[in-house]
Amino acid sequence: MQLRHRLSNTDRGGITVTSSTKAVEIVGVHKHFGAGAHKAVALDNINLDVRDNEFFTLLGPSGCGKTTLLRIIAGFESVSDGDVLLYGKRLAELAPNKRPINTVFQNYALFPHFSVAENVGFGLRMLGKSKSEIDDRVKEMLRLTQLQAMAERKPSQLSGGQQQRVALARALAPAPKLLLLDEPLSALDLKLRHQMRIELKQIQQETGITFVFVTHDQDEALSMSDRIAVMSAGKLQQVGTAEEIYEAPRNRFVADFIGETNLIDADIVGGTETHPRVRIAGGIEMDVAGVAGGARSACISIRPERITLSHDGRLPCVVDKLVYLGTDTHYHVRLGDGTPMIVRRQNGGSDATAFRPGDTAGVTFDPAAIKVLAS
Amino acid sequence: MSRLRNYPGFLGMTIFCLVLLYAPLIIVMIYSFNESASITRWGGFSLVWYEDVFFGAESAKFKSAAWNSLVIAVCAATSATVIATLAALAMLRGGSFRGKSASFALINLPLMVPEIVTAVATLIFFSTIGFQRGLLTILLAHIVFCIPFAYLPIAARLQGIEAHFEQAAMDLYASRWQAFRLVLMPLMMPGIIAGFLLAFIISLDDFIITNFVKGAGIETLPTAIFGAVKQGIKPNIMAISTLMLLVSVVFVTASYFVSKLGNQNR
Amino acid sequence: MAGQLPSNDDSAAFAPARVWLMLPTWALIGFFLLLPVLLMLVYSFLTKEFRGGVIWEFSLESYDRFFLDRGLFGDEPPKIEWTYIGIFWRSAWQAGLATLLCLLVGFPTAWFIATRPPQTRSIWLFLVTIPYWVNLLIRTVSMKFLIRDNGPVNELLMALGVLDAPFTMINTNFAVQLGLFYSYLPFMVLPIYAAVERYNFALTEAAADLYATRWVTLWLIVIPVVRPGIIAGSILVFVPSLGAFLAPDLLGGAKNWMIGSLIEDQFKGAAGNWPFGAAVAMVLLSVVLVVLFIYARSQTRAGAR
Ligand SMILES: Nc1ncnc2c1ncn2[C@@H]1O[C@H](COP(=O)(O)OP(=O)(O)OP(=O)(O)O)[C@@H](O)[C@H]1O
Ligand SMILES: [Mg+2]
Repeated sequence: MQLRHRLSNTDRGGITVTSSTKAVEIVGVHKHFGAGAHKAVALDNINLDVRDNEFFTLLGPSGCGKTTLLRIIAGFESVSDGDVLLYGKRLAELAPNKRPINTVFQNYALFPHFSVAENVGFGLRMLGKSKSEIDDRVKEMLRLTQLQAMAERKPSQLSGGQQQRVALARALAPAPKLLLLDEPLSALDLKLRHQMRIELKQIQQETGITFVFVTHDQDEALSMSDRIAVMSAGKLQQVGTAEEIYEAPRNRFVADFIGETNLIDADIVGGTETHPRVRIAGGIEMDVAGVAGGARSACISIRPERITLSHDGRLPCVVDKLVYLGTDTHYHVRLGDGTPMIVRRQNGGSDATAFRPGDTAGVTFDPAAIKVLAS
Repeated sequence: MSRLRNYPGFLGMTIFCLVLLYAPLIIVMIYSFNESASITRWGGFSLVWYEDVFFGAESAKFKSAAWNSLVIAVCAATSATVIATLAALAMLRGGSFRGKSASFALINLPLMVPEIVTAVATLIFFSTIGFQRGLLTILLAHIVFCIPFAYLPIAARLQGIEAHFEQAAMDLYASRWQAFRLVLMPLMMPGIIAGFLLAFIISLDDFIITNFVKGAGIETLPTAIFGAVKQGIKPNIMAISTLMLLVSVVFVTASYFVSKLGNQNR
Repeated sequence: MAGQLPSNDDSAAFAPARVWLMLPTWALIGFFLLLPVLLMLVYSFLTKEFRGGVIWEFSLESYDRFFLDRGLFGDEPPKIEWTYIGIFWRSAWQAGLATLLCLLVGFPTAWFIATRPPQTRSIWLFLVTIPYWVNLLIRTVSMKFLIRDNGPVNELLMALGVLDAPFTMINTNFAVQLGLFYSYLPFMVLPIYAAVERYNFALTEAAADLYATRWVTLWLIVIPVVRPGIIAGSILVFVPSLGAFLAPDLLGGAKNWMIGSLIEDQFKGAAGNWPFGAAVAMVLLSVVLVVLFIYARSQTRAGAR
């Protein structure tokens, strides 16, 4: 916590931190590349706030504009329209080297001709800090990232995981107001990735720096973030905590992208605005939660783990195939009218009644497990 | 973002660089169309000096020099390309062997030895063994210094072709020779053509070595021009220069498109 | 023995034929370049014959003449002979200056071209490549034409009223320098361009992200990272400049000799001293090989890192 104390004393770019401020405000940002026939829209009217001290994640499929948004915040791209504010201050006029923001680059961008210590100390050197101050801070950062033994090595003599840590230490050393991370774990193997998730989160909490983290890996997003912004095709789809996004996806894209789900078309046959009554395949009707908005038909989402498969299930179905996944098994089944569904069952339970492909069975689910989605 | 990549003054330097590179060539080109025999005053546009090059008093000399240059360049570039292709196959598809790095050094030796030294050494050599200096001595010297220039693009191309192609061909019952002729050779072609063009231009350009190893009375275009310039620059020299310049431009354009085609085929 | 076994190596398909494939190269370069250079070394230790040619008698006369001055009758104590060392010194100085100037103009040009968008980049690159392919003799002659006393440059300056009388540039050290700079400028631009094109611009962004200004980034990050290109370009300019013949001969006249002119004079000119010419050529070759050796060493050391 000594670290945090020191960080909150820093003041660059005329920005002072007060508690409970918005760290970043993104207001109506549009971004397109090229012009005329080659015009490509990368960001379409993005509005979002990142709170102070927050671990905020931008999540979305490849090409949805995450990197572009991050580069706009860092100052490497300009906006076509809109504004970016850092602690209430407009960033547009500020060159990247004047912004109290540091970045962990996707492929780290470590300076190949500098040692690890020189890399880590570079930002402080550019800020004109004294030699002893730089040395102390570099030592501290190397300790934080467990790189003490590597200080004199060149980046090419490090493993991928070590390089990743150097990039992190380098970006943390100047004690930025905001740290941007662009898929920093994507080059690491699975095991290291899991370990680094924990370390990153720990470092974020220890330093109290606001993190904006970019990933296309939903597990990464769900496990580390305070809040997540889901993006698709340059548009913001939903912002919320991991739980909100998983349990209450706002639209079809979010439900489909986050976790696995069954998306089924249904007719709305009554009920109220907030508790519509839906009819799904097989003519079964039930009252569910969700906003129907007066539409006649809607799409509903049911997570595979919320469905039970048994011999006496309510909706008859035929088992098509099984996919064994270690802790659990996915059963691909087909309802009476042909609608496909995936059911997840944990393995090793007492009721490990094996269903074989071709077996007839039935599925049951709680109406509370169903979400009606805006199309 | 562009403001990180752009440095003030770099555009100016680039323009300065291009002006410097082109100004002498363009001015000579303009003066080659000068009506007047003076090389200072502009006397109006005309093609008299081109006429002079082809039909004037010195035309016979320049024509034979141009013919010599052309014959030598074609022969030297062809031989150097064949030799360099074989060498590239040995160096890049021959596994590792003793003397490989020595061979590499030998291929690049003509690039490392200054031209004037090569010229002197070759002159001494031919005169010691009593070899009559003439077209043949020029040709031999040219083949030698063209080899590395032909080798560079061919080797670069071959390096980019994975061995899997030939293996796939042999897997499909092609013989070693068929695999080479039907698969590797066509893939190498852009490199071979680029190597040939480079060697051709280098041979056509050479003055210093040719000047030392040519026999008396035998001229190539550069030695003929040099001899004429020693008497003072006359407008017909500018006309010849302009023509040679055009040949060079045609060649760069050709090699540019060859390499472009090569990249598309990948 | 291992070499004779069929190799599993992917890149060994032509291993059985490699001796035959290499043979023409070995024969031609070995017989017509390596052997002549060795012969030239022998020549530099032979005795001069009156008009060109040699007498096959061992002698240190050529090197002695190059480095030492023994007075008119050879009975004074030897002093260092500065004439030829001076020509060497002037050549090295001219070549070094040309390298520096080419670097100062070539680096910004290469950088500028390499940072253009791909479509315009190839046009710029094409523009610098063309002079690289144009006959060096023609380029030097064009420069001579341009800077004559009554050439277009002087005419223009007088017409503009900058000068009253022609400013003599031809046959000066300045003209030789201009000629070298102009001749070998593309040799500097192209390797640096290749290095900048491979440069990872994320490094520049990272530097800016860490509060470095553009010029600091250029000095601390860009130049060290593209250094191999800068060194390659410098060697490609320095080595041919050192042994240049056309620029000093056509632009420098009789007073501004460089090594190339000195060597040429021994074989084609009035001097006609072949062993001495061979010795001067040997000294030049040694200097060049030392430069290349240092370069190769630095390359392998960089590669090992
Ligand atoms: N410099 C550029 N010029 C033109 N189009 C660009 C440029 N940079 C990005 N784009 C386009 O903008 C869109 C968003 O790109 P962006 O890099 O932000 O995606 P991303 O979400 O980071 O994807 P990934 O997960 O693959 O990194 C893409 O369609 C991309 O093609
Ligand atoms: Mg990205």
